Amino acid sequence: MKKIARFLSVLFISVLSSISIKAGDIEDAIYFSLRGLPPFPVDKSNYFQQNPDAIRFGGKLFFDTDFSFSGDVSCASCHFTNSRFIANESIPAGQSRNFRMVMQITGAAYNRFYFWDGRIDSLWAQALEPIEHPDEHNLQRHEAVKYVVNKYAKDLDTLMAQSDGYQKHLMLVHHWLTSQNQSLPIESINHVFALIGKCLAAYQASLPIDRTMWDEVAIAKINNQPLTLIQEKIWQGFNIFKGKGRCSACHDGPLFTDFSFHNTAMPTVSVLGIEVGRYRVLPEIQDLEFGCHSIYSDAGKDDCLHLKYLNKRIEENFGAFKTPTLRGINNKTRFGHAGQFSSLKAMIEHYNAPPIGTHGKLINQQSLSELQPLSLTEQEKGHLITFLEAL
Amino acid sequence: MSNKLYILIITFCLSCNVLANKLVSDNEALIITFDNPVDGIGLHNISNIGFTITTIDDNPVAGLGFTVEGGMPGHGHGLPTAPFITEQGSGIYTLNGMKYSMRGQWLLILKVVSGEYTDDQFTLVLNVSL
Ligand code: HEC
Ligand code: HEC
Repeated sequence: MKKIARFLSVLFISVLSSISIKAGDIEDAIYFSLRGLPPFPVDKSNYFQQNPDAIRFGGKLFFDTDFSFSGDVSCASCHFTNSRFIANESIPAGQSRNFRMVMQITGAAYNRFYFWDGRIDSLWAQALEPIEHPDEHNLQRHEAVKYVVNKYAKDLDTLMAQSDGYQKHLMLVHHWLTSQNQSLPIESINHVFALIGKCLAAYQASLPIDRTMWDEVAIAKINNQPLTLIQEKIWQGFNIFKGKGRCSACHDGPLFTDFSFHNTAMPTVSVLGIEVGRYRVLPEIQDLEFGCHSIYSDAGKDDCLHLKYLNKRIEENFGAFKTPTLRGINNKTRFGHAGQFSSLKAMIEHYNAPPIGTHGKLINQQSLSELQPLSLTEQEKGHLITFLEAL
Repeated sequence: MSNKLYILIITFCLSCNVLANKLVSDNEALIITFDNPVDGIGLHNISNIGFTITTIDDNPVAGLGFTVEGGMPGHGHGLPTAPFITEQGSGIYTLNGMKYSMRGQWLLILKVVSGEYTDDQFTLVLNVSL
Protein backbone atom coordinates (compact mmCIF):
# COMPACT_ATOMS: atom_id res chain seq x y z
CA MET A 1 0.00 0.00 0.00
CA LYS A 2 2.77 2.41 1.03
CA LYS A 3 4.67 1.49 -2.08
CA ILE A 4 1.72 2.31 -4.28
CA ALA A 5 1.21 5.61 -2.56
CA ARG A 6 4.86 6.49 -3.05
CA PHE A 7 4.70 5.38 -6.66
CA LEU A 8 1.61 7.47 -7.22
CA SER A 9 3.11 10.56 -5.65
CA VAL A 10 6.31 10.19 -7.72
CA LEU A 11 4.17 9.74 -10.79
CA PHE A 12 2.12 12.77 -9.85
CA ILE A 13 5.20 14.94 -9.33
CA SER A 14 6.80 13.81 -12.56
CA VAL A 15 3.60 14.40 -14.52
CA LEU A 16 3.33 17.83 -12.92
CA SER A 17 6.92 18.72 -13.72
CA SER A 18 6.66 17.45 -17.29
CA ILE A 19 3.58 19.59 -17.77
CA SER A 20 5.42 22.60 -16.39
CA ILE A 21 8.43 21.88 -18.65
CA LYS A 22 6.08 21.71 -21.63
CA ALA A 23 4.49 24.99 -20.60
CA GLY A 24 7.97 26.49 -20.21
CA ASP A 25 8.92 25.25 -23.68
CA ILE A 26 5.90 26.87 -25.25
CA GLU A 27 6.46 30.09 -23.34
CA ASP A 28 10.09 30.14 -24.51
CA ALA A 29 9.14 29.31 -28.09
CA ILE A 30 6.84 32.31 -28.10
CA TYR A 31 9.24 34.61 -26.26
CA PHE A 32 12.11 33.95 -28.71
CA SER A 33 10.22 33.77 -32.00
CA LEU A 34 8.24 36.11 -34.25
CA ARG A 35 5.12 34.92 -32.45
CA GLY A 36 6.30 36.91 -29.44
CA LEU A 37 7.34 40.02 -31.32
CA PRO A 38 5.37 43.06 -30.13
CA PRO A 39 4.72 45.96 -32.50
CA PHE A 40 7.71 48.29 -32.66
CA PRO A 41 7.60 51.17 -30.18
CA VAL A 42 6.33 54.51 -31.41
CA ASP A 43 9.17 56.96 -31.94
CA LYS A 44 7.72 60.26 -30.82
CA SER A 45 10.70 62.11 -32.26
CA ASN A 46 9.56 61.08 -35.76
CA TYR A 47 6.10 62.38 -36.64
CA PHE A 48 6.24 60.48 -39.94
CA GLN A 49 7.34 57.11 -38.55
CA GLN A 50 4.16 55.30 -39.59
CA ASN A 51 3.00 57.57 -42.38
CA PRO A 52 2.39 55.53 -45.58
CA ASP A 53 3.57 58.35 -47.87
CA ALA A 54 6.75 58.74 -45.86
CA ILE A 55 7.31 54.98 -46.06
CA ARG A 56 6.91 55.01 -49.83
CA PHE A 57 9.18 58.01 -50.28
CA GLY A 58 11.77 56.57 -47.87
CA GLY A 59 11.79 53.37 -49.90
CA LYS A 60 12.68 55.27 -53.06
CA LEU A 61 15.49 57.09 -51.30
CA PHE A 62 16.83 53.89 -49.78
CA PHE A 63 17.52 52.43 -53.21
CA ASP A 64 18.47 55.65 -55.04
CA THR A 65 22.13 55.46 -56.06
CA ASP A 66 21.97 58.97 -57.58
CA PHE A 67 21.57 60.15 -54.02
CA SER A 68 25.36 60.04 -53.60
CA PHE A 69 28.42 61.93 -54.78
CA SER A 70 29.71 59.09 -56.96
CA GLY A 71 26.28 58.22 -58.27
CA ASP A 72 26.56 54.60 -57.30
CA VAL A 73 26.01 54.38 -53.55
CA SER A 74 22.67 53.96 -51.85
CA CYS A 75 21.66 52.65 -48.45
CA ALA A 76 20.86 49.42 -50.27
CA SER A 77 24.49 49.09 -51.43
CA CYS A 78 25.44 48.09 -47.91
CA HIS A 79 22.17 46.86 -46.42
CA PHE A 80 20.51 44.92 -49.25
CA THR A 81 22.08 41.86 -50.88
CA ASN A 82 20.60 39.15 -53.09
CA SER A 83 17.16 40.75 -52.85
CA ARG A 84 17.16 40.59 -49.08
CA PHE A 85 17.84 43.09 -46.35
CA ILE A 86 21.10 41.60 -45.27
CA ALA A 87 24.44 43.31 -44.74
CA ASN A 88 26.78 43.48 -47.70
CA GLU A 89 30.16 42.55 -46.33
CA SER A 90 31.97 43.19 -49.58
CA ILE A 91 32.18 46.90 -48.82
CA PRO A 92 34.85 46.93 -46.17
CA ALA A 93 34.83 49.73 -43.65
CA GLY A 94 38.18 51.50 -43.47
CA GLN A 95 40.03 53.48 -40.85
CA SER A 96 37.63 56.42 -41.08
CA ARG A 97 34.77 54.17 -39.99
CA ASN A 98 36.85 52.43 -37.33
CA PHE A 99 36.71 49.26 -39.43
CA ARG A 100 33.18 48.75 -38.19
CA MET A 101 31.20 46.01 -39.88
CA VAL A 102 27.93 46.78 -41.62
CA MET A 103 25.03 46.19 -39.24
CA GLN A 104 21.76 44.48 -39.95
CA ILE A 105 18.75 46.75 -40.24
CA THR A 106 16.42 43.90 -39.28
CA GLY A 107 14.16 45.17 -36.52
CA ALA A 108 15.97 48.53 -36.48
CA ALA A 109 12.86 50.30 -35.19
CA TYR A 110 12.98 48.29 -31.96
CA ASN A 111 16.30 49.84 -31.01
CA ARG A 112 16.69 53.05 -29.11
CA PHE A 113 20.37 53.70 -29.80
CA TYR A 114 22.05 53.16 -33.14
CA PHE A 115 25.43 51.99 -34.43
CA TRP A 116 27.72 49.52 -32.69
CA ASP A 117 28.50 52.08 -29.99
CA GLY A 118 24.97 53.54 -29.88
CA ARG A 119 26.21 57.04 -30.68
CA ILE A 120 22.90 58.17 -32.23
CA ASP A 121 19.62 58.19 -30.29
CA SER A 122 16.98 57.93 -33.04
CA LEU A 123 16.53 55.93 -36.23
CA TRP A 124 15.85 59.02 -38.38
CA ALA A 125 18.98 60.74 -37.09
CA GLN A 126 21.02 57.61 -37.79
CA ALA A 127 20.15 57.78 -41.50
CA LEU A 128 21.71 61.23 -41.78
CA GLU A 129 25.23 60.10 -40.91
CA PRO A 130 25.89 57.89 -43.98
CA ILE A 131 24.54 60.61 -46.28
CA GLU A 132 27.30 62.99 -45.25
CA HIS A 133 30.00 60.42 -44.58
CA PRO A 134 32.91 60.65 -47.07
CA ASP A 135 33.08 56.83 -47.32
CA GLU A 136 29.37 56.44 -47.90
CA HIS A 137 26.99 58.74 -49.80
CA ASN A 138 29.52 61.55 -49.44
CA LEU A 139 27.09 64.43 -49.97
CA GLN A 140 27.26 67.83 -48.39
CA ARG A 141 24.08 68.53 -46.50
CA HIS A 142 22.80 71.28 -48.79
CA GLU A 143 23.62 69.17 -51.86
CA ALA A 144 21.63 66.28 -50.42
CA VAL A 145 18.67 68.57 -49.72
CA LYS A 146 18.94 70.21 -53.14
CA TYR A 147 18.89 66.82 -54.86
CA VAL A 148 15.87 65.59 -52.94
CA VAL A 149 13.89 68.82 -53.28
CA ASN A 150 14.42 68.75 -57.06
CA LYS A 151 13.94 65.07 -57.73
CA TYR A 152 11.24 64.26 -55.22
CA ALA A 153 9.18 67.47 -55.31
CA LYS A 154 5.93 65.55 -55.58
CA ASP A 155 6.67 63.23 -52.67
CA LEU A 156 7.60 66.21 -50.52
CA ASP A 157 4.42 68.06 -51.47
CA THR A 158 2.33 65.08 -50.41
CA LEU A 159 4.05 65.07 -47.03
CA MET A 160 3.80 68.84 -46.66
CA ALA A 161 0.06 68.63 -47.06
CA GLN A 162 0.02 66.51 -43.90
CA SER A 163 2.19 68.62 -41.64
CA ASP A 164 2.45 72.38 -41.35
CA GLY A 165 5.80 72.29 -39.59
CA TYR A 166 7.93 71.80 -42.67
CA GLN A 167 6.12 73.98 -45.19
CA LYS A 168 7.89 77.17 -44.20
CA HIS A 169 11.28 75.48 -44.37
CA LEU A 170 10.62 73.91 -47.72
CA MET A 171 9.59 77.32 -49.06
CA LEU A 172 12.79 78.90 -47.80
CA VAL A 173 14.82 76.13 -49.43
CA HIS A 174 12.93 76.64 -52.71
CA HIS A 175 13.60 80.33 -52.46
CA TRP A 176 17.30 79.69 -51.97
CA LEU A 177 17.39 77.31 -54.94
CA THR A 178 15.66 79.67 -57.35
CA SER A 179 17.19 82.99 -56.44
CA GLN A 180 20.85 83.72 -56.97
CA ASN A 181 23.39 84.92 -54.41
CA GLN A 182 21.34 83.80 -51.48
CA SER A 183 23.10 82.61 -48.38
CA LEU A 184 22.18 79.13 -47.26
CA PRO A 185 19.04 79.01 -45.11
CA ILE A 186 20.87 76.67 -42.77
CA GLU A 187 18.11 75.93 -40.30
CA SER A 188 15.61 75.22 -43.07
CA ILE A 189 18.07 73.01 -44.87
CA ASN A 190 18.56 71.10 -41.63
CA HIS A 191 14.82 70.67 -41.21
CA VAL A 192 14.41 69.22 -44.70
CA PHE A 193 17.51 67.08 -44.14
CA ALA A 194 15.94 65.73 -40.96
CA LEU A 195 12.74 65.02 -42.89
CA ILE A 196 14.76 62.87 -45.31
CA GLY A 197 16.01 60.89 -42.33
CA LYS A 198 12.50 60.53 -40.96
CA CYS A 199 11.25 59.03 -44.22
CA LEU A 200 14.19 56.64 -44.42
CA ALA A 201 13.40 55.63 -40.85
CA ALA A 202 9.72 55.15 -41.67
CA TYR A 203 10.69 52.88 -44.54
CA GLN A 204 13.08 50.79 -42.46
CA ALA A 205 10.54 50.51 -39.65
CA SER A 206 7.98 49.22 -42.15
CA LEU A 207 10.12 46.29 -43.30
CA PRO A 208 8.79 42.93 -42.19
CA ILE A 209 11.09 40.59 -40.33
CA ASP A 210 11.79 37.41 -42.27
CA ARG A 211 10.29 34.23 -40.88
CA THR A 212 13.14 31.76 -40.56
CA MET A 213 13.69 28.08 -39.95
CA TRP A 214 13.88 28.83 -36.23
CA ASP A 215 10.42 30.40 -36.30
CA GLU A 216 9.10 27.21 -37.92
CA VAL A 217 10.56 25.15 -35.09
CA ALA A 218 9.05 27.50 -32.53
CA ILE A 219 5.63 27.29 -34.18
CA ALA A 220 5.81 23.50 -34.24
CA LYS A 221 6.59 23.56 -30.50
CA ILE A 222 3.79 26.00 -29.78
CA ASN A 223 1.33 23.82 -31.71
CA ASN A 224 2.67 20.70 -30.05
CA GLN A 225 3.62 19.15 -33.39
CA PRO A 226 6.42 16.61 -33.73
CA LEU A 227 9.77 18.04 -34.84
CA THR A 228 11.77 16.73 -37.78
CA LEU A 229 15.27 15.48 -37.12
CA ILE A 230 16.92 18.74 -38.05
CA GLN A 231 14.30 20.72 -36.14
CA GLU A 232 15.07 18.59 -33.10
CA LYS A 233 18.74 19.59 -33.39
CA ILE A 234 17.81 23.25 -33.71
CA TRP A 235 15.69 22.92 -30.59
CA GLN A 236 18.57 21.31 -28.72
CA GLY A 237 20.79 24.20 -29.81
CA PHE A 238 18.16 26.63 -28.54
CA ASN A 239 18.22 24.93 -25.16
CA ILE A 240 21.97 25.48 -24.98
CA PHE A 241 21.53 29.06 -26.20
CA LYS A 242 19.22 29.93 -23.33
CA GLY A 243 20.70 27.48 -20.85
CA LYS A 244 24.30 26.42 -20.40
CA GLY A 245 25.53 28.77 -23.14
CA ARG A 246 24.07 31.81 -21.35
CA CYS A 247 23.66 33.51 -24.74
CA SER A 248 20.19 34.82 -23.95
CA ALA A 249 21.63 36.82 -21.06
CA CYS A 250 22.14 39.42 -23.83
CA HIS A 251 20.72 37.99 -27.06
CA ASP A 252 17.20 38.02 -25.64
CA GLY A 253 13.73 37.89 -27.17
CA PRO A 254 12.51 37.44 -30.74
CA LEU A 255 15.23 39.66 -32.21
CA PHE A 256 17.93 38.06 -30.07
CA THR A 257 19.03 41.35 -28.59
CA ASP A 258 18.30 43.27 -25.42
CA PHE A 259 19.18 46.48 -27.35
CA SER A 260 21.71 47.20 -24.60
CA PHE A 261 25.47 47.51 -24.39
CA HIS A 262 27.86 44.95 -22.98
CA ASN A 263 31.56 44.36 -22.63
CA THR A 264 32.24 40.95 -24.10
CA ALA A 265 36.04 40.98 -24.04
CA MET A 266 36.26 41.23 -27.80
CA PRO A 267 39.79 40.92 -29.16
CA THR A 268 41.55 44.16 -30.01
CA VAL A 269 42.14 45.06 -33.61
CA SER A 270 45.74 46.23 -33.70
CA VAL A 271 45.09 49.45 -35.62
CA LEU A 272 42.29 50.42 -33.24
CA GLY A 273 43.91 49.57 -29.92
CA ILE A 274 41.75 49.71 -26.83
CA GLU A 275 38.25 50.80 -27.76
CA VAL A 276 36.20 52.78 -25.32
CA GLY A 277 33.02 51.87 -27.20
CA ARG A 278 29.77 52.96 -25.61
CA TYR A 279 31.50 55.02 -22.92
CA ARG A 280 33.11 57.34 -25.47
CA VAL A 281 29.82 58.48 -27.00
CA LEU A 282 27.99 59.20 -23.74
CA PRO A 283 29.19 62.78 -23.10
CA GLU A 284 27.56 64.07 -26.30
CA ILE A 285 24.58 61.82 -26.71
CA GLN A 286 22.07 63.95 -24.88
CA ASP A 287 22.79 66.98 -27.09
CA LEU A 288 23.21 65.71 -30.62
CA GLU A 289 22.70 68.05 -33.55
CA PHE A 290 20.14 65.56 -34.83
CA GLY A 291 18.46 63.51 -32.15
CA CYS A 292 15.51 63.23 -29.84
CA HIS A 293 16.41 66.42 -27.93
CA SER A 294 17.29 68.49 -30.99
CA ILE A 295 15.11 71.21 -32.53
CA TYR A 296 14.54 68.87 -35.49
CA SER A 297 12.87 66.27 -33.30
CA ASP A 298 9.08 66.01 -33.06
CA ALA A 299 9.28 64.79 -29.47
CA GLY A 300 8.04 66.82 -26.55
CA LYS A 301 10.33 67.75 -23.72
CA ASP A 302 9.47 64.63 -21.72
CA ASP A 303 9.32 62.15 -24.57
CA CYS A 304 13.03 61.29 -24.72
CA LEU A 305 13.02 59.03 -21.71
CA HIS A 306 15.96 56.99 -23.03
CA LEU A 307 18.07 60.13 -22.76
CA LYS A 308 16.60 61.34 -19.50
CA TYR A 309 17.40 58.07 -17.74
CA LEU A 310 20.60 57.28 -19.61
CA ASN A 311 22.89 54.84 -17.83
CA LYS A 312 26.35 56.44 -17.85
CA ARG A 313 28.18 54.22 -15.39
CA ILE A 314 31.69 53.52 -16.49
CA GLU A 315 31.54 49.92 -15.23
CA GLU A 316 28.71 49.12 -17.59
CA ASN A 317 29.72 51.20 -20.58
CA PHE A 318 33.49 51.13 -20.96
CA GLY A 319 34.47 48.85 -23.82
CA ALA A 320 30.83 47.94 -24.34
CA PHE A 321 29.11 47.55 -27.70
CA LYS A 322 25.51 46.98 -28.69
CA THR A 323 24.18 43.44 -28.62
CA PRO A 324 23.49 42.82 -32.31
CA THR A 325 20.46 40.91 -33.53
CA LEU A 326 21.34 37.34 -34.46
CA ARG A 327 18.57 37.03 -37.03
CA GLY A 328 20.08 36.33 -40.43
CA ILE A 329 23.48 35.61 -38.84
CA ASN A 330 24.02 32.74 -41.30
CA ASN A 331 24.42 35.37 -44.02
CA LYS A 332 27.50 36.79 -42.35
CA THR A 333 31.06 35.61 -42.66
CA ARG A 334 32.69 37.99 -40.21
CA PHE A 335 31.51 38.55 -36.69
CA GLY A 336 31.92 41.29 -34.10
CA HIS A 337 31.91 45.06 -34.52
CA ALA A 338 35.27 45.01 -36.29
CA GLY A 339 34.90 41.60 -37.87
CA GLN A 340 37.17 40.04 -35.26
CA PHE A 341 35.99 36.47 -35.91
CA SER A 342 35.65 34.72 -39.24
CA SER A 343 33.33 31.87 -38.26
CA LEU A 344 30.52 31.14 -35.85
CA LYS A 345 32.72 28.37 -34.43
CA ALA A 346 35.43 30.91 -33.59
CA MET A 347 32.86 33.22 -32.04
CA ILE A 348 31.55 30.39 -29.85
CA GLU A 349 35.10 29.43 -28.80
CA HIS A 350 35.49 33.04 -27.64
CA TYR A 351 32.39 32.74 -25.47
CA ASN A 352 33.37 29.27 -24.27
CA ALA A 353 36.76 30.33 -22.94
CA PRO A 354 36.61 34.11 -22.78
CA PRO A 355 39.78 36.14 -22.30
CA ILE A 356 39.88 38.74 -19.56
CA GLY A 357 39.58 41.34 -22.27
CA THR A 358 41.52 44.46 -23.03
CA HIS A 359 38.70 46.92 -23.48
CA GLY A 360 38.45 48.28 -20.03
CA LYS A 361 40.14 47.17 -16.89
CA LEU A 362 39.50 49.51 -14.05
CA ILE A 363 41.73 49.90 -11.07
CA ASN A 364 41.09 47.01 -8.68
CA GLN A 365 38.90 45.30 -11.21
CA GLN A 366 40.17 42.37 -13.18
CA SER A 367 37.87 42.84 -16.10
CA LEU A 368 34.73 44.65 -17.11
CA SER A 369 33.74 41.74 -19.29
CA GLU A 370 30.45 40.09 -18.41
CA LEU A 371 31.46 36.71 -19.82
CA GLN A 372 32.08 33.58 -17.79
CA PRO A 373 33.69 30.34 -19.00
CA LEU A 374 31.06 27.89 -20.29
CA SER A 375 32.73 24.46 -20.65
CA LEU A 376 30.62 23.51 -23.64
CA THR A 377 31.27 20.09 -25.15
CA GLU A 378 32.01 19.76 -28.87
CA GLN A 379 28.52 18.35 -29.35
CA GLU A 380 26.93 21.30 -27.57
CA LYS A 381 28.93 23.74 -29.70
CA GLY A 382 27.67 21.90 -32.76
CA HIS A 383 24.04 22.16 -31.68
CA LEU A 384 24.53 25.83 -30.90
CA ILE A 385 25.85 26.46 -34.41
CA THR A 386 22.92 24.56 -35.94
CA PHE A 387 20.60 26.82 -33.97
CA LEU A 388 22.41 30.03 -34.98
CA GLU A 389 22.33 28.99 -38.62
CA ALA A 390 18.55 28.58 -38.41
CA LEU A 391 18.06 32.18 -37.29
CA MET B 1 28.77 45.43 -4.54
CA SER B 2 30.19 42.19 -5.78
CA ASN B 3 28.22 39.66 -7.77
CA LYS B 4 28.80 37.04 -5.13
CA LEU B 5 27.06 39.18 -2.58
CA TYR B 6 24.12 39.71 -4.92
CA ILE B 7 23.78 36.00 -5.43
CA LEU B 8 23.93 35.47 -1.69
CA ILE B 9 21.16 37.97 -1.19
CA ILE B 10 19.07 36.27 -3.83
CA THR B 11 19.48 32.83 -2.34
CA PHE B 12 18.61 34.29 1.01
CA CYS B 13 15.61 36.17 -0.32
CA LEU B 14 14.22 33.20 -2.18
CA SER B 15 13.13 32.11 1.25
CA CYS B 16 11.86 35.51 2.35
CA ASN B 17 8.42 36.44 1.30
CA VAL B 18 8.27 39.50 -0.92
CA LEU B 19 4.70 40.68 -0.76
CA ALA B 20 3.31 42.00 -4.01
CA ASN B 21 3.43 45.73 -3.36
CA LYS B 22 4.69 45.96 0.20
CA LEU B 23 8.09 45.31 1.71
CA VAL B 24 9.86 45.82 5.01
CA SER B 25 13.32 47.40 4.93
CA ASP B 26 16.41 45.36 5.72
CA ASN B 27 16.71 46.96 9.17
CA GLU B 28 13.01 46.37 9.68
CA ALA B 29 12.44 50.04 10.46
CA LEU B 30 10.52 51.11 7.35
CA ILE B 31 7.76 49.85 5.12
CA ILE B 32 7.58 50.65 1.43
CA THR B 33 4.24 50.37 -0.39
CA PHE B 34 4.24 50.65 -4.18
CA ASP B 35 1.22 52.03 -6.03
CA ASN B 36 1.72 49.35 -8.69
CA PRO B 37 3.86 46.22 -8.77
CA VAL B 38 7.50 47.20 -9.44
CA ASP B 39 7.88 44.22 -11.77
CA GLY B 40 4.66 44.94 -13.65
CA ILE B 41 5.86 47.49 -16.20
CA GLY B 42 6.60 45.05 -19.01
CA LEU B 43 9.80 44.89 -21.03
CA HIS B 44 11.64 47.80 -22.65
CA ASN B 45 9.23 50.42 -21.31
CA ILE B 46 10.62 53.23 -19.22
CA SER B 47 8.17 53.85 -16.41
CA ASN B 48 7.69 55.66 -13.13
CA ILE B 49 6.29 53.94 -10.07
CA GLY B 50 4.91 55.79 -7.08
CA PHE B 51 5.41 54.57 -3.53
CA THR B 52 5.00 55.60 0.07
CA ILE B 53 7.32 55.09 3.01
CA THR B 54 6.05 54.63 6.53
CA THR B 55 7.50 53.51 9.80
CA ILE B 56 6.56 50.09 11.07
CA ASP B 57 3.77 51.74 13.06
CA ASP B 58 2.40 53.39 9.96
CA ASN B 59 3.64 56.99 10.19
CA PRO B 60 4.73 58.53 6.89
CA VAL B 61 8.48 59.21 6.63
CA ALA B 62 9.46 62.37 4.76
CA GLY B 63 12.81 63.71 3.64
CA LEU B 64 14.59 60.51 2.69
CA GLY B 65 17.20 60.54 -0.06
CA PHE B 66 17.77 57.32 -1.99
CA THR B 67 20.15 55.70 -4.42
CA VAL B 68 18.87 53.05 -6.80
CA GLU B 69 21.04 50.09 -7.70
CA GLY B 70 20.37 46.76 -9.23
CA GLY B 71 20.54 44.53 -12.25
CA MET B 72 20.53 40.86 -13.10
CA PRO B 73 23.07 39.22 -10.82
CA GLY B 74 22.68 35.94 -12.67
CA HIS B 75 23.73 37.63 -15.90
CA GLY B 76 26.32 40.04 -14.55
CA HIS B 77 24.75 43.22 -15.87
CA GLY B 78 23.21 46.22 -14.14
CA LEU B 79 20.05 48.16 -14.81
CA PRO B 80 19.66 49.37 -18.40
CA THR B 81 18.63 52.85 -17.28
CA ALA B 82 19.73 55.09 -14.41
CA PRO B 83 16.57 55.37 -12.31
CA PHE B 84 16.30 57.84 -9.43
CA ILE B 85 13.88 58.65 -6.65
CA THR B 86 12.12 61.96 -6.07
CA GLU B 87 9.84 62.97 -3.21
CA GLN B 88 6.41 64.45 -3.81
CA GLY B 89 5.78 65.32 -0.20
CA SER B 90 5.46 63.82 3.22
CA GLY B 91 6.36 60.21 2.65
CA ILE B 92 5.19 60.05 -0.97
CA TYR B 93 7.93 59.28 -3.48
CA THR B 94 8.39 58.26 -7.11
CA LEU B 95 10.84 55.78 -8.55
CA ASN B 96 11.59 57.39 -11.94
CA GLY B 97 12.94 55.75 -15.08
CA MET B 98 12.68 52.03 -14.35
CA LYS B 99 13.14 49.67 -17.25
CA TYR B 100 13.72 45.94 -17.70
CA SER B 101 15.54 44.83 -20.83
CA MET B 102 14.50 41.19 -20.52
CA ARG B 103 12.43 38.80 -18.44
CA GLY B 104 14.02 36.94 -15.54
CA GLN B 105 15.25 37.63 -12.07
CA TRP B 106 16.17 41.20 -11.27
CA LEU B 107 17.52 42.68 -8.09
CA LEU B 108 16.62 46.20 -7.05
CA ILE B 109 18.14 47.94 -4.06
CA LEU B 110 16.70 51.23 -2.84
CA LYS B 111 19.16 52.56 -0.34
CA VAL B 112 18.49 55.41 2.07
CA VAL B 113 21.47 57.75 1.82
CA SER B 114 20.21 60.86 3.57
CA GLY B 115 17.71 61.80 6.22
CA GLU B 116 16.74 59.72 9.16
CA TYR B 117 17.26 55.97 8.63
CA THR B 118 20.38 56.48 6.51
CA ASP B 119 21.94 53.12 5.54
CA ASP B 120 18.71 51.22 5.77
CA GLN B 121 17.61 49.80 2.44
CA PHE B 122 14.94 47.88 0.59
CA THR B 123 16.15 44.77 -1.20
CA LEU B 124 13.73 43.64 -3.86
CA VAL B 125 14.04 40.38 -5.73
CA LEU B 126 11.81 40.66 -8.75
CA ASN B 127 10.65 38.09 -11.18
CA VAL B 128 10.01 40.00 -14.36
CA SER B 129 7.86 38.25 -16.91
CA LEU B 130 6.05 39.38 -20.03
C1 HEC C 1 29.16 52.08 -47.33
C2 HEC C 1 28.25 51.22 -46.61
C3 HEC C 1 27.02 51.81 -45.98
C4 HEC C 1 26.06 52.64 -46.54
C5 HEC C 1 26.05 53.24 -47.93
C6 HEC C 1 25.03 52.81 -45.53
N1 HEC C 1 25.36 52.10 -44.41
FE1 HEC C 1 24.19 51.83 -42.80
N2 HEC C 1 25.74 50.99 -41.82
C7 HEC C 1 26.97 50.72 -42.36
C8 HEC C 1 27.92 50.39 -41.31
C9 HEC C 1 29.39 50.04 -41.50
C10 HEC C 1 27.21 50.47 -40.09
C11 HEC C 1 27.78 50.31 -38.68
C12 HEC C 1 28.70 51.50 -38.47
C13 HEC C 1 29.10 51.84 -37.06
O1 HEC C 1 28.62 51.29 -36.10
O2 HEC C 1 29.92 52.74 -36.94
C14 HEC C 1 25.83 50.84 -40.46
C15 HEC C 1 24.79 50.97 -39.54
C16 HEC C 1 23.48 51.25 -39.92
C17 HEC C 1 22.34 51.20 -39.03
C18 HEC C 1 22.38 50.89 -37.54
C19 HEC C 1 21.72 49.62 -37.15
C20 HEC C 1 21.72 49.44 -35.66
O3 HEC C 1 21.10 48.49 -35.18
O4 HEC C 1 22.29 50.24 -34.91
C21 HEC C 1 21.24 51.56 -39.77
C22 HEC C 1 19.80 51.64 -39.29
C23 HEC C 1 21.70 51.86 -41.10
N3 HEC C 1 23.06 51.64 -41.16
C24 HEC C 1 20.90 52.37 -42.12
C25 HEC C 1 21.43 52.97 -43.25
C26 HEC C 1 20.70 53.87 -44.13
C27 HEC C 1 19.26 54.31 -43.94
C28 HEC C 1 21.55 54.23 -45.14
C29 HEC C 1 21.30 55.18 -46.29
C30 HEC C 1 21.05 56.55 -45.94
C31 HEC C 1 22.81 53.53 -44.88
N4 HEC C 1 22.70 52.80 -43.72
C32 HEC C 1 23.90 53.59 -45.72
C33 HEC C 1 27.28 50.76 -43.71
C34 HEC C 1 26.57 51.51 -44.62
C1 HEC D 1 27.22 39.63 -22.04
C2 HEC D 1 26.38 39.75 -23.20
C3 HEC D 1 26.49 38.69 -24.28
C4 HEC D 1 26.45 37.31 -24.12
C5 HEC D 1 26.33 36.52 -22.85
C6 HEC D 1 26.57 36.76 -25.44
N1 HEC D 1 26.67 37.76 -26.36
FE1 HEC D 1 26.95 37.52 -28.35
N2 HEC D 1 27.28 39.52 -28.54
C7 HEC D 1 27.15 40.44 -27.53
C8 HEC D 1 27.68 41.71 -27.96
C9 HEC D 1 27.73 43.00 -27.15
C10 HEC D 1 28.15 41.52 -29.28
C11 HEC D 1 28.90 42.53 -30.14
C12 HEC D 1 30.32 42.51 -29.62
C13 HEC D 1 31.28 43.39 -30.34
O1 HEC D 1 31.43 43.29 -31.55
O2 HEC D 1 31.94 44.19 -29.66
C14 HEC D 1 27.87 40.12 -29.61
C15 HEC D 1 28.14 39.52 -30.84
C16 HEC D 1 27.79 38.24 -31.18
C17 HEC D 1 27.89 37.67 -32.50
C18 HEC D 1 28.37 38.41 -33.74
C19 HEC D 1 27.21 39.11 -34.41
C20 HEC D 1 27.58 39.97 -35.57
O3 HEC D 1 26.66 40.44 -36.25
O4 HEC D 1 28.76 40.22 -35.80
C21 HEC D 1 27.45 36.38 -32.42
C22 HEC D 1 27.36 35.38 -33.55
C23 HEC D 1 27.09 36.13 -31.05
N3 HEC D 1 27.31 37.28 -30.32
C24 HEC D 1 26.60 34.93 -30.56
C25 HEC D 1 26.52 34.64 -29.20
C26 HEC D 1 26.37 33.32 -28.66
C27 HEC D 1 26.23 32.05 -29.48
C28 HEC D 1 26.39 33.45 -27.30
C29 HEC D 1 26.34 32.34 -26.27
C30 HEC D 1 27.39 31.36 -26.35
C31 HEC D 1 26.53 34.86 -27.00
N4 HEC D 1 26.61 35.54 -28.17
C32 HEC D 1 26.57 35.39 -25.72
C33 HEC D 1 26.66 40.20 -26.26
C34 HEC D 1 26.62 38.94 -25.69
